[in-house]
Amino acid sequence: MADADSELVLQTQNGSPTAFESLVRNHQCMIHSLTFRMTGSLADAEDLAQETFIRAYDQIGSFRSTAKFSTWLYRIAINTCLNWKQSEARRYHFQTECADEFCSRQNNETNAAAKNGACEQVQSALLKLPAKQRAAIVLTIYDGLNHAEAAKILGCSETTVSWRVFAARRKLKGWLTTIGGAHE
Amino acid sequence: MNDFDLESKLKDVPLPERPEDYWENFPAQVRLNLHRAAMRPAPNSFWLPRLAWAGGFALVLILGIWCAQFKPLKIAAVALSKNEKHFRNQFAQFETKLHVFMQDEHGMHHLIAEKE
Repeated sequence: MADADSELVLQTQNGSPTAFESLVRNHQCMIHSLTFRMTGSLADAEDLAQETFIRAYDQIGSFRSTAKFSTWLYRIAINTCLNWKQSEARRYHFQTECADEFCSRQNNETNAAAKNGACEQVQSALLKLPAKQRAAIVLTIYDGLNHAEAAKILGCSETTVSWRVFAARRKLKGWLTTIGGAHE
Repeated sequence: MNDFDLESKLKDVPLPERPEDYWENFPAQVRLNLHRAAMRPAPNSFWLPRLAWAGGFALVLILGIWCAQFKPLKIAAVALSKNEKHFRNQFAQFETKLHVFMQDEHGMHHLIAEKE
């Protein structure tokens, strides 16, 4: 655990809300980017980030300093995202909207606009993945963790992570190749 | 598309930017929510399912014991009411004797003995 975090965690465990506020400040960007990649929605990402920190505060008594605080927090965030059922409907709407938007853009807009639309399509493709495969992709590709580290966070074996990454890559390649072809 | 192309495509998607004051206020917002959560009455949802299961189990146990305990009495009561006429005749015939009713696996028995 980083020294700054270590001290802050200790203070939080002794009941200092200010120390916890500093921990939130140190890790808020990381958690927000994770929750956004997992949900594709700014509002959901904010809710999940809040939920993650609240859970972390509740469970901080059980945190052992042998582990890295960021890894521990990451695990809470991932579990919060995987349990986030409420947003499923909103996510579905987002995907549908994206798909509709893409179809209309295909016919009407210039190549440059279509390129911008491709970004949305990538995000949309990511959201179409099953949550556990999406989590594996977010951790390994966006956050650059190796499969062993991702397995530790996801609470599964390294082989499971490798399989999820493989399956997710295969699906994404299929979806994004079609989109790429459509844009060209 | 190879793995490298896929990764570049995925990484090309930028994260939406939030205003600076959002990051400034976020920790305070978390703290506020923590305070609100602490003010809320302690959730008893942890105990509710356990309590329901324990209550259900206790009820089944009590009913089981009750049924086991009162079944012979019920059988005896049915047997007595079925043979009421016969027993009344016996009572009339041996008015001065001691009458004992016994229930076992063979059914209801009416024993008549001398009073000491």
